[in-house]
Amino acid sequence: MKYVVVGSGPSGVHAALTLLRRGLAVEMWDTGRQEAAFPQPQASFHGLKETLDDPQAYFLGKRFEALLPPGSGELLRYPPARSFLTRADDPCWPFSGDDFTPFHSFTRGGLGVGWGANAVSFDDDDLKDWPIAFGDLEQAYAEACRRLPIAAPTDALSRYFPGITPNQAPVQLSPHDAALLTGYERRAATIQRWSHLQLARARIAAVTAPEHPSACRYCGRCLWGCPAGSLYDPAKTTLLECQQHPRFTYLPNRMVLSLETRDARITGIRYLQTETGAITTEPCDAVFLAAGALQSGGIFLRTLQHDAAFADGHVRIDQTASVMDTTAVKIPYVFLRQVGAQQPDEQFQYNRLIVAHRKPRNGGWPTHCHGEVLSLNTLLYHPLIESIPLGSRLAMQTFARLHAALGVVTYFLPDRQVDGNGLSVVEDRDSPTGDRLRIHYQEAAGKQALLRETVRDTRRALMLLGCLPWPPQIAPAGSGIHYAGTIPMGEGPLRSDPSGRANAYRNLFLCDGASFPTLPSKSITFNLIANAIRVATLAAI
Amino acid sequence: MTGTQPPTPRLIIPGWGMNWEQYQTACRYLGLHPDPGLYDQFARYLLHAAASQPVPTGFARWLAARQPGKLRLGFLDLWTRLLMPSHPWRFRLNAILAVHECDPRGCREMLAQPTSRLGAWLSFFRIGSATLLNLTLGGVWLGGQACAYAILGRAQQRERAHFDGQTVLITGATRGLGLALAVRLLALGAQVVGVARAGAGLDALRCQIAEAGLQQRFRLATADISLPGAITAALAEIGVDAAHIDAAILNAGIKEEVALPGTTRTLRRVFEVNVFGAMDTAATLIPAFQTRGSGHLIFISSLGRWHGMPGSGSYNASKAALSLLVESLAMDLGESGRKTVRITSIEPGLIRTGMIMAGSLQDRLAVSAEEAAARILRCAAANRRICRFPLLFTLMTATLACLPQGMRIKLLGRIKD
Repeated sequence: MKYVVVGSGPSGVHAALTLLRRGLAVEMWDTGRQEAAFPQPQASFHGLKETLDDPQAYFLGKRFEALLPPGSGELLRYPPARSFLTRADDPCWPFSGDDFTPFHSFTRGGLGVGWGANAVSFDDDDLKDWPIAFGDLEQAYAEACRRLPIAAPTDALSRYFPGITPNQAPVQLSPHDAALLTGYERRAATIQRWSHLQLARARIAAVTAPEHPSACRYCGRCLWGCPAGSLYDPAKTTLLECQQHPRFTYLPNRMVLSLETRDARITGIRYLQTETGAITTEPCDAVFLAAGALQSGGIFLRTLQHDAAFADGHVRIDQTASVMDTTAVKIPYVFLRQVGAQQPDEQFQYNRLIVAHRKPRNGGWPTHCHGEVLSLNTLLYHPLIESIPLGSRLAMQTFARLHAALGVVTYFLPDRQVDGNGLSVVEDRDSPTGDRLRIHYQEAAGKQALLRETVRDTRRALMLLGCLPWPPQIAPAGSGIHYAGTIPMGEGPLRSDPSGRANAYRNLFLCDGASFPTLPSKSITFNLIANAIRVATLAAI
Repeated sequence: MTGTQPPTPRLIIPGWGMNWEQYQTACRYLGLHPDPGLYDQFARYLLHAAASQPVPTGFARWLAARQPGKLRLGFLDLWTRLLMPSHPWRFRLNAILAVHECDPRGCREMLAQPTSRLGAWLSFFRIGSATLLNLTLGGVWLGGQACAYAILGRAQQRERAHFDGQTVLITGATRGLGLALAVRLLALGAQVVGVARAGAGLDALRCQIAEAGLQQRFRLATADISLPGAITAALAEIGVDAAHIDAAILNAGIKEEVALPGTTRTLRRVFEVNVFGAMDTAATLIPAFQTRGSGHLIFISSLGRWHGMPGSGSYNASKAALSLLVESLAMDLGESGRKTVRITSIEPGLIRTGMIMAGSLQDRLAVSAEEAAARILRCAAANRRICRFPLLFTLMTATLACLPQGMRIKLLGRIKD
């Protein structure tokens, strides 16, 4: 029997590993580009400036892609040295339109390669509109915690992340973080009363145990690619584990377009051979879609549109049932106690603290709004300096005094299905597949009120902590990177059942976020992994 | 790359690029240590920016052309940040910070701050005072610049209107004045056809043009114009029809310092390039200009054509011959011919190019190639028949030319000693 997992992101590799452990033979089909090796693994972020032959090319790009032009409004761009993100000028770029610009990856490991590694789990409140409860996912979370390093504390927030079992010590805090956390602990009751905000150490999928060969060295290169292998990367861990299994076959250079069907069953896969440009079809016995909610939604929609069973028009198949993404809101702040302080050169680069904004909401939104607190450390500073309205010289001097005090709270606001939102397939002769996916997205009603409430309370909490909050920055649609809900759990052929199987096809299983019926605020990746394990465990094949 | 040696010259687009000296001034203003290796990266980035960003116009262009000085940079820095967030000065200063922050010393310099926290807080008062000072004094300065632009900006607008969309051929386009003319024309919106001899300079320029994405606007032809017919073959080789050339700047020239009588081989070589090469190029283009009914020939002569000079006899004589030939050409074309083929003769004084030693008296009297290019193109745009500059040098030359020959020989002969 030929079972195919499509995609090698966090969902794909964990679904594949689960199927392998069930004793099944698995093929993984993947576009499968390979990311270049990270240079000089022993060097720290600032050390690279000393030791690289051409540090400007590494940090700014050979064509200065990461030198952010003035007036662009951008403060941070993925480093050019990390090639896992696909850009709109890539011939295989699968999307059309510019009102929702998603991030996309064709690299082994998918977007999971650039995961910020925040590992938090959903609870019953997050899942209140799902046909399943936390109990249905509990075993899968436990298995995920066995497979991944989880550097986390046990603290007051632990009860809101019931699926997280720490197996590593939390990452070290910077002096800024430590002062902020101490300040919070001293005034926790007041802050919670006035702002409903709780501050805690982050839960990070990273190896911190010093005796481990991949232990975090605090080199400050997380965003530039962890050279120690400490941050969880599906391509360098779980995929390798799958590849050691004799019944696993990895087939790169295959971009799946749609599925062949007969009598409500998948019988084959139509794919683009990315090396030759040829479009081919091969038979299969079951498919596990894990290409990411957007690509999986596109594959599913094309399949329905090619299926003779839907040709009579009794079901509207011009668009997927939905599409969701978290709205990213950034609230910058200056921590006044840290003004003029020295910043240690070597730190964990991603966030070391998280916030939970918890209160009963109007309109059915989840109680928990999850945020990440990132104090500034190793980054490219010129866009930040240019954003200070004083001219470069005085802005640079101001920045030097403030940089140990700067931080940002980033919230990922939850999302839910909205009528009219979804993916459609549009013809495009410039695309090697002959079409592209158009994303139709309108913000859910009540999101703005939720945003205002969260921002107001966070600003209040920051002031109570001795910080000066700045006006919030709301990222454009598509920037949340937590895409979900293109084939959500529910009724009808455009949706899936609670076990993650497509309603329209008995042997099509949705392992990624495509089947999520709502999108909670908490970081999605760890939950994707748990869901993929659950779907692959329950799949009746 | 570290050290204080000046870097390899780079293609500098006016209004965008900065030369090494300007970069050094900007670094001193920012409190950073200039570095030739970082300058090279910075100049490369500005080439990319010039190719990808809209050409500044009007007052923005006027401000972009201001020479950097520490005080003036303070005004430009703050006011462009407040009023023109995408101005070339923003790109320049932002790029200096970006390339320096990737350098260990640059990064340390950028993050330098008082050792005590109290000192850090107190320094905000200094930053605030400096901001207020730049706002007030800079506001007055900016008002002055606006007035100057209102008065003098017309010549700038005329220059742009004249050359925008024109195809201009330049001989000797790989360095010095020729290169400065080429990049200024590019900034004015012209298409440039550069002609130069084969060599490392030509190859390096080709690379920089490709890097900046300017291949369609700056084409290079390889030719030794001292060889008869070479220009025709070179244009054919790169697919340029002489009929599509609107103007030509006959700039190619060589100078060989040999005391006369010396060998006539040197004299012959200098004349072949400076005189015959220029006239041969003109003869190639004039029929096409006449057929079309318009065209402009701009000959680069020299103020040196008015007198002899020890060691430069061959050069000065060649320029004298060229000036007289150009004058005669205008006469031969006749009244109607001059309306069809406009002729401008440029007689610059000393230009700071590879022909002049740095730090010498000549260097101090010289103008930069960029300044000379600006003067030449403004004269051409104004349709002037003759253009001599700089004023002081022109007056000195006129005085010398009026002196009795014996006195002139005595005076200039001392230069040899």
